[in-house]
Parts: sequence; C-alpha cells; structure tokens
Amino acid sequence: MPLIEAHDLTKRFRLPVKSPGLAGAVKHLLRPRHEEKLAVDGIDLTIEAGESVAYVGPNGAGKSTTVKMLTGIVVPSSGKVRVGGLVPHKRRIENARNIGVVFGQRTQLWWDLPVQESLRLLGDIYEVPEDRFGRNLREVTELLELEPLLRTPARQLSLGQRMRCDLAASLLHGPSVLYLDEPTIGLDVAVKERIRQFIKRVNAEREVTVLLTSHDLADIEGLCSRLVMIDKGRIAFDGPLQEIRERFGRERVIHLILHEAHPGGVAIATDALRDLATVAIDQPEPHRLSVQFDSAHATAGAIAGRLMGVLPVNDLRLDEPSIERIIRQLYEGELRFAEEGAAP
Amino acid sequence: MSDGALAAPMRLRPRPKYLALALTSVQRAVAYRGTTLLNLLSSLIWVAMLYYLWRTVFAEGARIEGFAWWEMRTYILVSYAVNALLSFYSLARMTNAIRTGEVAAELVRPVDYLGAQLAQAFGAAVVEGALSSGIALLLGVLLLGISPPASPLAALLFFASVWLGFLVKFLVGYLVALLCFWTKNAIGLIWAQTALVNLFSGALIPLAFFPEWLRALALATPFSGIVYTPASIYLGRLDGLGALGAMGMQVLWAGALWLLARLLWGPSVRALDVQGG
Amino acid sequence: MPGRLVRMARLYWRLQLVHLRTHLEYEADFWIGVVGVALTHGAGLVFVWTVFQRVPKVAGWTLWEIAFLYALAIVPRGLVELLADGQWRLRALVNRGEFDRLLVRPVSPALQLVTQMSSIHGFGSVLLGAVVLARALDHLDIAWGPGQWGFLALSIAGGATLIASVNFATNCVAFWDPSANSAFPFLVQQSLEFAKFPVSLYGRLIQALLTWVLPFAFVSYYPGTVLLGRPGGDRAIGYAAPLAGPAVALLAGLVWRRGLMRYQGTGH
Repeated sequence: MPLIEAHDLTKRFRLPVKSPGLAGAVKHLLRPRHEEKLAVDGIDLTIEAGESVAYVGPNGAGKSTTVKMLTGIVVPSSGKVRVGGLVPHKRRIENARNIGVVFGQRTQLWWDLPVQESLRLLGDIYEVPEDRFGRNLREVTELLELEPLLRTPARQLSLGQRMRCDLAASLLHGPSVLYLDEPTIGLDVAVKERIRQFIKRVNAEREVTVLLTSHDLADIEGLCSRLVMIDKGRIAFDGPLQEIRERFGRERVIHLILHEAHPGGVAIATDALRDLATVAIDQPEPHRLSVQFDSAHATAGAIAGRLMGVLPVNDLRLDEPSIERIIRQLYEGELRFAEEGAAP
Repeated sequence: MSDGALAAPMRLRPRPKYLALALTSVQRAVAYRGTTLLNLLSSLIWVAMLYYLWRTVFAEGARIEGFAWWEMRTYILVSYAVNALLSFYSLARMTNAIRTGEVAAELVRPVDYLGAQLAQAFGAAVVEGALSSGIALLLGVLLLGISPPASPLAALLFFASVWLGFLVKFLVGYLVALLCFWTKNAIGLIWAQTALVNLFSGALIPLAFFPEWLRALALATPFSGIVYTPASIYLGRLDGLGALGAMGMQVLWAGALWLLARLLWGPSVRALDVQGG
Repeated sequence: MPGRLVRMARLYWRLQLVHLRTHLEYEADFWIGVVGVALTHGAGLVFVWTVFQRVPKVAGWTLWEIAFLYALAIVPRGLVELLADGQWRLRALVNRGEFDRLLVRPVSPALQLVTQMSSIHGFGSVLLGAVVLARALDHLDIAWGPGQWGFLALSIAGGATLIASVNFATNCVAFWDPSANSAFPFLVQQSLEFAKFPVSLYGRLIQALLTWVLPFAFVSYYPGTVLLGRPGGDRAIGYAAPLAGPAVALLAGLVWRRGLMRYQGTGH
C-alpha cells in the first residue's frame, strides 16, 4: 500500500471581496461578498514508502495547500487523502506522530532554551521511549555535528546551525514521512550541501519518505528522484527526474575550442551543417564556437564529425540541459507540457 | 497596494522633518482608529467605576474638600480626557523600539531622537485627544451633566496647561523608555510608571482628597502637573496667580526633565552597544 | 482517558516550567515585572483607602470588606498570568503562520497554546492579593473555619478558570480575523477591573453585563458576599459561583473548536 495517497484532492477557499477604505469595510460588513479560489484542483498523488519526491511549482500554485492537507492542518473541500493509512485531518494527532515537518523559515525550537532542552521537550511531546530517544539523539547529534550547539539557546544560533538543529528536532521521534518546506532557504552553499547530504542519508538509510518543496533547484536535483510539478492547482508533471530531462531536455549544446582564432567560424559551420536541424550557432570568442541543436533531429556525433572536418578543433564539450534550466523555463512558461512529444 | 507609484499625484517638496514625523503619527493613529478607540473605551471602565463609587459617596449630599457631586463628576470626565493623551500604546511604542533594537534604525537618521519621539507622540496625542474629548463631551453632556470650564479665561489656561501636562507626561515616559536600554522587561516599567502617574497625577482621585502628607508628596512630583493642574484650572479651583503658579511649575518640571533626558541620552546609547542589539 | 489526562498534566508542567526558568534567569526583569504589577493594583488600593479616610462606609461596605473583594479579583488574575497566558500569542501565531506548527504535533493545540507564554508579573498580583486577603481577614470579624478556607480555594480556582477561559475565547477572534488587533480581548480583560469593587455599586446595566455577558462578578462579588456573610446578593448564586469557571470553560472550548474548524477549513 502506498504511504501517501491522494485522489481527486480539492481545496476551495472562500475569500472575502473587500473594496478599499472605510466605506469598503462597512459595505462588506453589510453585504459580504466572497469569491471562490480553487487552490488545489483535483489532484491525484501516490507516494510509496521510501521515495523522495520534489513538489515544485510557482508561488500560489497550490503547493503549500497540498502539504497542509497531507499534514492535517487544512481540511480538504473534497477528494480523498490518506497518509500511512490515516486520514490526516480526521486523525490529526495520530498522523502527527508519524510525520516530521521542517518549515525553513520558522524554527520549532524554543527561543530562549538551550537546544538540548528543546529536543528533550519534543521527546516528551512525541512520547518517545527512553531507549529510542537516546538512540535517535545520538545519531542525529553525530551526523549533524550538533554536540557543540546543544547548550546554546536557539536565539544565539546562526541560520545554518538552527536549521541543523531543526532537522534533528523533526527526526527525534522517528517519523516515517518528512515534509521539508524550503529547508535550505537563506543558507550558504557549504551548509546547503551538508544539509542535503544529511537528508539524503536519512532517506536512504532510515527509509524516511521525503516530500520536499523548494525553489532551490539544486535541492531538487540533489535530493529527489521524482518530481511532481503543480501549476494553477493541477498536477502538470509527475515522473522521474530523468524523464523531465528526456522529454524537455532535447536541446544540447556542443562547445568547440579552436586551435587558433578563426573569424569566419560561424559561416563555415553554418555551411557544413546546412542539412542538419541546428538551432543556433554562436562564436562568443574568436577561438570558440558553440552549436545548439535538437537531439531528436541530430546526434552530437554527426555534428562534431562534420565540424572537425572543416575547422581546426582542439577540444570539445557537450552540455546536457540541467533540470534547473528546464524547470526555470517551465515556470516562466517558455516550455509547455502540451508540446511534449509533438512530432518533428 | 498601488503598482503605479506616480499614478497618484505625489508631493515633491519636502516638509519640515518633525512636522512630517508628527503627521505620519497622526496618519497611523487614524489608520488604527479601531485600536485607538478601543483603548479609550478600556480606560472608560475606570471612569465608570469611579463614577459609581463617588456617586454612592456623594449620595447624602456630602461635600469633600469643597467638592460637590457635580464638580466631582466633571473632575472624573475631565481627568479622563486629559489623561488619555499619550496612551499606553504610545508609551509602549517608544519602549518597544528600544527593546527590540529597532531604535538602531532611527539612530542613523539625521534627526534628534528626543525631538523625533516628541513629534510622533504629539501626532498620536492630537488624535487621541480629539477622540477622548469627543467621548467625554458626549458622555458628559448627554448622561452626566458636566459643567463647562469655570470661565473663558479658565478655558484658555486649561488648554495651555493640558499641553504642558502632556509634555511632562511624555518626558516621564521618554525617561522610562531610556531605562529599556538596560532592561528587557519594558512592560513592567510601563506599568510601574502608569500606576505612579495615575495615583500622583490626580487621574484616580483629586489630590486634595489625600491626607496631608500624601498630598504634599504628590505635589512634589512632576506628576501632579499631568492631570491635577489642568483639571483644577478647568473647575476654577485654581485661578489667577494660583493657576499661573501651577503652570509655572509645569514649565519648570518640563525643563528639568528635558535636561535630564539630554543628560541620560549618552550613557543610554552606550548601553545599546553592550547589549549588542 | 485518565492516562491521557495525566500525560497532559505532565506535559503542561514541563512546558510551563520552561518559562519560569527563563524568567528567573533575568533577575532584574523579574522584579521589575512583579513591582510594576503590584504598583498597578496597589494604586487602586491607595485610592480605596483614601476614599475611606473621608467616609466610614460606601453603600454599607467597609474598607476591609472592599479590600477583601479587591484581593479576590487580583489573585485569580495573577494565577492566570502565571499559569495560562499563552492565549495572547494566538494572533501573532496565526498571523505569522506559526500556528501550523501546533497542528503537526501530537498534542492538543489548546494545551500548546496555553503554554506558549507565562507572564511572571502575575506573581506580583498573587503576592499582593494574598497579603491583602490575610490583612482583611485579620481586620474583619467573620466566622472562619476549614469550610471557609475550602470555599475560598474553590472560588479562586473557579475565578482563575473563568478568567483564563474568557481570555481564551476572546483571543480566538484571531481565527476569524487574523488582522484584528489585540484591543478587543484586551478590552474584555480590562472589564475584570470592575470586579475589584462590589458590583452592587454599579448601575443595573453594568451589573447585568458582569453577571451574564462577561461574568466577572462570579470571580469576586458573588463568592465574596458568601464568605463575608453579607446580606443581599443571592445566596444560591454565591455558593454556586465557583462553578461559573468550568461553565465558561465549556463555552470557550466550543468557540475554540469552531475557530479551529474554521482555520483548518480556510487555511489563512
């Protein structure tokens, strides 16, 4: 049985429509007007135990509403949802025992308390038995190198230190699902990488299912094997990260480094590749040339072969598209899912 | 809110900075008029309590220290309206800015801190004053039958004295706010200050009702200038030279407190560095 | 069920202790808070004392009888400030989206909310109130025995429950209007001041309000008339006064449930 199961999950909000100013407020009081907003529009989502899933989408797409329904914070308007066999909003407290939640911008530590006191309190709140508490505490302390931080009050921690402690706090009770909301926001590159390594390890070794929402695409590439993208309340893509690359990443770039400056490079290359469907040829510097092409219509080998015949090529490099670029383009509406698989 | 910043005609000429600060404060008080109003209502609770209590005491036609029931009623409402200037919230705003370290942002601006605080407190007080006098007038005329100021001259002096009292109250509040450079518990300080001001300013009870020694003590504090002096002028219990003398005391206290505020400013700001924000 | 209650009690204790410890770390702040609030209530007492310098009785009440009611009003309030003041943080939690955190933990969010904050100055109210109570009992010539002690304890517990519940319910306004400011619950809490004096002094409208709408008369006046053995006031109501607390708590619970439902229905 899948760990997380949502079927036709929908959330409608009723928002008050208010005109600005005092007059508007009075008018609203006398005759309230509302408009409906469909935040999540009938999504189906199945996540197996042990998966690590990136849940992405532009702001306001319905990401956080979905996560709130999965965690039992928000009650769905319709549809079915189960996490670990429980309906989260009906059995919120039991569901809470099975999940860990990290909100990147809000700490769950007690502000004035030394970190270890906060962890101890959480142990009480989650009723973690003594032996398991000790084991988990040792493990996270070691992995996240918390030892020197334990006696520091949360308010004195740096952002990165705090995030490490927050991660530890969310795992003490041994949850089977970990919801991560922007876990690396505002951190420096080294700390980000460390946190990713840790999460990856937790996912692999402790088989904690991870659902990550993030705008940091390095998080997504580094942590997740599956990507679910939501846009305007609907699921726009759901599949392995690899598939995204294959479906939308047909565009390749070959970079050539020439033996010597070759001013007419673009013209020569254009001529040589006349019958191949190249997208663009560019010569950023006199001894460098880049050729952008669609991998469905031409192979890197064919292009490189022809160019090596007409130009003094010293070295070449092939750029595969990064998920980052693809997702960014998807966000910006440059790529459209409807176009997928459109015949050449 | 608006995307086109210049869609609305915007003033391009600068305003005198303290005036601008005061006006911003007026705007804020108007924007949060709900809060302002509810605050004034919550201080009305004590007005009601005082009213009923004194009504019982004066029921047998008694006079206390020359106060008849109609004078007492008037005193209660006038002292309410006067004391409403510079509310709990205005005081809390000053202390909070210091407590949270927001003060640092104000310190980098090319304005005198004391002057800027006064301008903002004044702006809020104009709104609070207008509202509280409105409420007092409404209640006073419709329900309680209060009397007008003793004479046109008394009215004039009363108005001047109210603002002198405001200045004293502001400076007391400002000095207490400076203490927050050293302590975290701002709310305790505000309470202590409010309690002392209420008791010794005459907001709770006319100082004349105190036993001799307590009255002497209260009159020796700057607090008596906040409510008792203007209220007494209103009722005509202080007039002529007496009124001018009391107002002179207000001026003296304001000057002394202003000087003290100036003197304490340096050490206070240095404490900010120690706390480290 | 009993197991759950024990667990809640234990957790409550743990969570509250945290605040106490933090507060005690800042010794100066602790005393400023205690003295500040004691002065606030003390100013009112000086006022009462001054009035009684002028007249021997007010509407048949003596100085120490009123002091007794006054103390009966501030002791429960102090207890609430000390033990259950977290309600006041609800608006901030909802506004900043931090309330979600309470919902993803396996403990009743109400318990977590109440323990969000403890106002150490409540200690000042309790202390001052206890001293005034003791002095009043000294001066008053009333029959006093174990029964009275018991009833006094019940009244204080009931009063504290009532005050905490009213605060809890009024702060739930945050669920309906998260942008609302703190003035409304604050205004309601301020009407507790009325309870410092016998409500029989006030007009009929205020008396009715303090009995049926904001039932703060049950904190001091009704149990006070019984303990002081004063004529007037309904005996039955007086003896039943400690029950008003739990009754209001039930109502507050209903408001909370509705609010929570709304929150979970709309997000924020």
